[in-house]
Amino acid sequence: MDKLPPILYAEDNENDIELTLAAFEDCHIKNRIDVVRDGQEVIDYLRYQGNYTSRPHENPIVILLDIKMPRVSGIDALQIIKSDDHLKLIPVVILTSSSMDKDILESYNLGVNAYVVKPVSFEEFMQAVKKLGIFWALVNQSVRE
Amino acid sequence: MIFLNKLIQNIYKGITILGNPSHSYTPQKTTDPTRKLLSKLPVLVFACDTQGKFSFWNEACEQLTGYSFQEISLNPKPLALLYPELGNNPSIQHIIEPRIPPALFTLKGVQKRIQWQPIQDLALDDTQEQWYLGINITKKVFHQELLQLQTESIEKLSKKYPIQIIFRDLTLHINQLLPGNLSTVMLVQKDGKHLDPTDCPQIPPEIVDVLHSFPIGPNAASCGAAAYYGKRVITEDISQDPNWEGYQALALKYGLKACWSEPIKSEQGKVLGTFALYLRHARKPSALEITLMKKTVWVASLIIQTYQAEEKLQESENRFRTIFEKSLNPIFIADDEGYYLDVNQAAADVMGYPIEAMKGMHVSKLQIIDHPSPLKSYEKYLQKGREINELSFKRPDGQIRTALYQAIHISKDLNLSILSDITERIEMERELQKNKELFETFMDHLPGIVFILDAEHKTIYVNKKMREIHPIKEIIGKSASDLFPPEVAAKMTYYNHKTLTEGYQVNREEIAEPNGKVSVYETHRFPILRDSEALLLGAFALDISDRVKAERELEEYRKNLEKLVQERTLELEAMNKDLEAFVYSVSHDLRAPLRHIDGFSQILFQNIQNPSQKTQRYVDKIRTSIHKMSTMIDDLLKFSRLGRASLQKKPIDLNHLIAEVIAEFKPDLAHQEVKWIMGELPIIEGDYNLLRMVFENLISNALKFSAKSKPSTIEINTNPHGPNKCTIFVRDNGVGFDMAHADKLFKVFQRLHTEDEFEGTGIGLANVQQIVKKHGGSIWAYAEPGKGATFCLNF
Repeated sequence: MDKLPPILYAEDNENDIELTLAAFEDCHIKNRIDVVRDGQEVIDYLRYQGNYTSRPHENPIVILLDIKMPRVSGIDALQIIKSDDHLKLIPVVILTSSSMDKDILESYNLGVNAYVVKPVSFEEFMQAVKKLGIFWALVNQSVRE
Repeated sequence: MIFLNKLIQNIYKGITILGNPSHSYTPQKTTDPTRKLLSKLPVLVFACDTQGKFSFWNEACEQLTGYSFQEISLNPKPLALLYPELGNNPSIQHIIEPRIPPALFTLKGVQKRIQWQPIQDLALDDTQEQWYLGINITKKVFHQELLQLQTESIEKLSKKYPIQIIFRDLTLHINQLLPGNLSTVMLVQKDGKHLDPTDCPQIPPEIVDVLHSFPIGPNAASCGAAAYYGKRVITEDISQDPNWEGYQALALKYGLKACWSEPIKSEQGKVLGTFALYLRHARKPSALEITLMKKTVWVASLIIQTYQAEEKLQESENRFRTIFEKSLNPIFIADDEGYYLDVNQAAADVMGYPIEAMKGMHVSKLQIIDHPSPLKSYEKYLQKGREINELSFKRPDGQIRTALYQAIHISKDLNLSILSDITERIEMERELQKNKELFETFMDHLPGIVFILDAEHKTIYVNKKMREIHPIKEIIGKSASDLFPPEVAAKMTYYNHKTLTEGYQVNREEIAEPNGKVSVYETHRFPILRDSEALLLGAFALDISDRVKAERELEEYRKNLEKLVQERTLELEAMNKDLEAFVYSVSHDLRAPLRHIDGFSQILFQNIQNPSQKTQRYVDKIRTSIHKMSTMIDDLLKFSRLGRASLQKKPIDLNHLIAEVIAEFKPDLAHQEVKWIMGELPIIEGDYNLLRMVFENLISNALKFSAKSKPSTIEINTNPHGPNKCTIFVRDNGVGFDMAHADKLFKVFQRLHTEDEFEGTGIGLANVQQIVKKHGGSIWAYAEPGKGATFCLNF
């Protein structure tokens, strides 16, 4: 079996990271999950710059973006990704606590592939993350490099 | 020679004797040669016997009488022939009888007067002859008569005899002078084209009739022609004169054969009338008769002129009298002593006395105000001779009047004063003055400037305020350019012109007063019209500096306020953004910890081996709390979102909407028996999703609070004509609530029931109200504990 491409997960909240990772672990996602803490790191990661110059050359299978992050927000990062010819084909899922219409509308306008509101209930959250992981990591067929 | 001497003596004596007829002479014998001599003498001499038979008749006698000695001597009654006027058989004594005038004798129509004297001592040839010497005194007598005639006429004239009588007497006298003949005086009528006879009783009435309105003309008989030409016209023989055509028969009928007419002329030569003599013989006048006519005409002219002058005088006097009497100006005539000799009606009226009472009244009787002694004033006036003055006097009826009078001394008995009653005028002036004062007082109390200009923009009136501001001595007559700087004056002149041509104007003008203060005036200019033509310009200007200052301040405030509002709006917008950010953090940041608590507590529980029931319960409590908080956050988010959301309005059938909502609830009502009462609901304008949220909320509440009633009765109906104009109401038969807490009903997080009794976040009704308000509607509720609640909505 080929080495699975990683999932890029941008989230500044450690609790969310831990819970999300727990959810992924729980639903047997084998893909490596690369966690970054803000939008700038997302861009650095994808462009192999900053702390990610020596990163193995591969695009993530999906990018999970929180909106509210320090430095560069999820929306801004989304905009950069979707306007970068090398990156725009990577599926981006906004995974956020914000159910604000403004955020949803803006995200879709920028070409987001999915917008998922984190449920407060842990069970529902687990369900959502699991479904997300399964769909993007296993079901979805992304463009090959 | 002795005889001759005697004769001459006699002749002279005879002449003298005329004045003394008692003298007589002694006759003396004469011889034939003497007779011859006597017959040639230029003196009248005749001789006759006692029987009256003429024996001598000299040539002078023949010449004078026209009768020859033969005619006389052969006539049996020679004296009757000579003196037809003396009767059939006059004696010689009749002839020589000394009388004045001596007897007339008419010789072939010519009258003569001879003064005969017997020559006493002349006797010739011893005959019984008596000799007589005669002197022709015709002329002398005539002149005497004429003089007499003139004297009489003038005397009558001076005695103011009527002109008709004077002329009647005159013509009668002339008729006497020329016995058998007739005379008339005719006067030119006023038209100057006709003549009228004066009184002439001896002229036959038939002729008088013809003489009336006798035409003046070149061919109008004698008198008409004489008047026409202004010259004497002698008609020697009426029967032969073509000018007499038409009158000849009449004249001849009365034996009038000749007519001599002499015009009566004024000193200026104007024809006043004619004097005519009608003769019984067709002949021309003698020199003496011409003289008679001339003298008569002279006296007639005098008479006529005098009368005409008197008539004129009378007329003029009458005229002046009339003027005096009828004059509306009071006229007084007084003598030097101060007695009124005459006054006219107007004078009596103004003084308040009857006219008769005024005549003879003394000036001191008059009550002259301010002149205690009218007599003294009168005396003063007499010294000066004339006076023009004003006086006030009190009439007997108490009225006080004022008059202007003019007095002039003409003569002792003629002090003329003319008076003009000016009481009314003075009263009018006083009234006018009062009105003027009222006007000025009013104007001077006005808080603004008043000025009136004439059509040339020259000032004719200003009030006190204007005089105070512009203490220029003479504003009157000045125009704006004389009073204000050029640019201000130009503006004013423009406004003035516009007012006079277009009508009312109101303008604001900034005017620097002499003290340097700049004031703003609101000037109202209006034309003062007569016959819709602007005559004057009136203006009222109010100092509105304070108002303008206030306006400016207000404007400043307004601008500041606008700025402030703008600032506040910006602040508010910023706050709104903050709020949005807050809501964002609520939705994002508040949920996260909850999720974490839930997540980790779940993981924790999963990690506990064989958890006790207690542990399980605690975990459940944690999770219930988390759920509740999450719901609250969601509701809160919804609430804040509603506040900012815009409405998508369209017509909504409430029946349809309610049915949908109820249908949605039905699956959850397995354990609740519900009795639905539905009315016919209206269609309203609104946002479908939001209104649906409203009814979900209300029906959910109704179900929730009536859950314990068996069955739950829920009525959804309309009552638009009720006192509260309810569009739709939702009523339940649930637990209701105490109206004392009704004010908390629609407030966020306010609950009227414990959570143990009924679930809820306390945000639902707040959201409902928010939506209803956004639709411009209102919501209210009424309830009673245990008796259900009704929520009414009005859109």
